[in-house]
Amino acid sequence: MKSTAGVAEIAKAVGSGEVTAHSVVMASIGRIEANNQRLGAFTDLLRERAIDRATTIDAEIQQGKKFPLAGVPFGAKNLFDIAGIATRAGSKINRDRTPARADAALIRRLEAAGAICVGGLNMGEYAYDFTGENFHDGPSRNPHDLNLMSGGSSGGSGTAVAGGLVPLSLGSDTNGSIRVPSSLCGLFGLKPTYGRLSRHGTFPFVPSFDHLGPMARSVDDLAMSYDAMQGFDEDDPALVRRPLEAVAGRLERGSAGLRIAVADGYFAGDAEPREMMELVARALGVTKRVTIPDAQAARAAAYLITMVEGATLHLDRLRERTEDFDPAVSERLMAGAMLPGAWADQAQRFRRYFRDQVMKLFDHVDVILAPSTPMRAPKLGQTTAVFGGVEMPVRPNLGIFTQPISFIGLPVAAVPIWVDGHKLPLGVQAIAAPWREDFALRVARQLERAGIARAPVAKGFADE
Amino acid sequence: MSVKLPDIDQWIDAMAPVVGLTISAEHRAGVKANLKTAAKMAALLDKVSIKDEVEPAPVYRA
Repeated sequence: MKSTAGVAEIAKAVGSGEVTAHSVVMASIGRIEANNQRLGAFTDLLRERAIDRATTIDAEIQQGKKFPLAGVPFGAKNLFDIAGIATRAGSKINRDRTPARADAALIRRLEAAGAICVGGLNMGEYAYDFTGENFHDGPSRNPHDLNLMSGGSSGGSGTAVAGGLVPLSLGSDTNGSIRVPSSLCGLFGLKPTYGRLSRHGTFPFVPSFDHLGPMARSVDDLAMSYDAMQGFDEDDPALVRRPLEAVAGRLERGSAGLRIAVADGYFAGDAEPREMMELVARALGVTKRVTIPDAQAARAAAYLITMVEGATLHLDRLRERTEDFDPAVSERLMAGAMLPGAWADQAQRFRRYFRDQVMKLFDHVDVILAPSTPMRAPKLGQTTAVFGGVEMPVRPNLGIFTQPISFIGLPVAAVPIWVDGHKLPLGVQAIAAPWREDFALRVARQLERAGIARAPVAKGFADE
Repeated sequence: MSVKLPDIDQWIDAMAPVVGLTISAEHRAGVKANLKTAAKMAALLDKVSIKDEVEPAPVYRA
């Protein structure tokens, strides 16, 4: 199959016996071997395992077994446990860990549905990153321009899918780490409701906000993979017992009947995101505006909790192996270890308050739209950019629009928008009330149908 | 809570030993910058008035 083939197309072709899972996996491995050095997407390639798995799937299909994701190759951010590999989470230090004994829960669920994990993906160290630049492994590059950032921290997850190496990847999103690379690489991403998808078998960062989710090149592909990963898992203490709420068959209505508003104030942004948001609002026929109150304080609270919980997690490593960290990460974490407990606890009290304020908005709207990032992909190594007329650091500011949303665990579909006259995509967040992933994805589907949201494999990596 | 920007060198000198960290010369400027940012974030949060009855977000289920 071509590099441009998506999840649905591959699953259909393999499921019907038109092509084998073996040939699909071999093509994906071939593209990884040919292009990964330039892209920096994969850190671990599971050649033998993936081929074995494909052979098994092909045999089972021959015997009449059905798989919703038959033969779909995917990569997982290297904070997901992969049996036999030390879960590095983008770090040098974790390479000394005992190899994982089993795969992470979501890898197991995707593979139970017929998908095939082909490798582990590059990421910012310990997920404390929005750039996709890894201090130890080198950057994951933006396939649309190799001199630009992929965004992070799920950078390799973005690079692999936009570079056509695989049609699907798994990422994590604590403060924006799926939505930022989805914006910069031009992909559809889903950060589900906090408590929806099992985090069992992944290396944590900030347990209060850690989420996992898929990235893909179409809304259908995203929905199919998300459906295969739903379901309760008692091994994740934050998981909520919900019925399986499949979305794949429920998106055809698009945005019809949904009350949609554009977030103003804090989320208005500079000229680039404003122009993009106007295009999105026109395409959806949206004129309503809504103000998310105290968004700046929400970002501040998320920032503090991130520093403190991250520092708690890494304190022993900070004491014993300071010099083995990326200094940009260790310095933030060491500062986090020295913050007053009252700041973090007040931030958690504010979180409850903010959640209640935002829930009131959902009495009047179903979906809130906001940009995913304040800018298109910056250059690799770029440290500052102008935001609101002021030169500010790139690294933390890439997440200013995502951070207040994951702070309270709302589901978000990250949608890649292409504005005429710009060579790079810029993402919009379709934000819904808790457990309404279907609403967020229906808006994504409407934008896809309107032709302004699309996630092509980057030129140079797309098979003709 | 009232948050004033403190003397950050004093903050590091007092707190680093408490949590068992050694802040080397080459990391001091980076740690200082991050503490300064954190103090600004705490000041932003401090402007919001929250009622006594509001519980922290995490809930433990026995």
